[in-house]
Amino acid sequence: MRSFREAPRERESTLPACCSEKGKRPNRHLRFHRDLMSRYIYEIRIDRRRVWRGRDPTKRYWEIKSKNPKKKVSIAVVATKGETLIVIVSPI
Amino acid sequence: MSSSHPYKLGPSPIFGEIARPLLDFEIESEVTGEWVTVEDALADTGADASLLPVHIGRLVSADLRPGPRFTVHGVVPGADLVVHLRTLNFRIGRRKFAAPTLIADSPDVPAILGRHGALDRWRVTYARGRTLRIRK
Repeated sequence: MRSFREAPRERESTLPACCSEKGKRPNRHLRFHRDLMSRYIYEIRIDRRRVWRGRDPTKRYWEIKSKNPKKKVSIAVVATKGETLIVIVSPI
Repeated sequence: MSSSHPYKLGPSPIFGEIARPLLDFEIESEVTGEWVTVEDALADTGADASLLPVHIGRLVSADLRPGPRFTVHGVVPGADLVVHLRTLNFRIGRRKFAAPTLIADSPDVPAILGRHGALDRWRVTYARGRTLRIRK
């Protein structure tokens, strides 16, 4: 009888993505944590209707734009939680 | 030439709901030469310059590494932000202009149209918390 031996599993990091060097692994929990930590999320809209929502729109924006050449494709930064914006940007 | 931008309602943990002066603008991408439309950016007279988060920065600027880097801060104590300075071509309706823009190192910042090179060009009126008017 053939015996199978499990390959040693890589030890999962218990640290969230933002705190861990090995946080690049596509892990649902880590992604959840990252989304929880982030205050803003990106939306890609076609004619003001949201077609995509996520963390990194760089690739998807050009994909969606090339598929919809005659429509108005736009991008928006949206707060994930309600917030009171007090923004002053000034160089130190 | 004048344009009106109605305030948009958004959630606020303090006030429940609050109206904000948000507007749309376009930026010419150095990567493809196309115009990238940014919706619902904050028209902020408190911001010295316009600010974009890193992901929108990557859409409009070929490479963020070369060029000057600075640190900026807001009203939150201790929270500093590394930014890259670029001069980008903007379009708001029929107005076209080049403005120095800060591209943040972080995705966690809102898109802001600030004063230097942008809002300072026109007469901007915040009318009774309802409409943002831009006039020559």
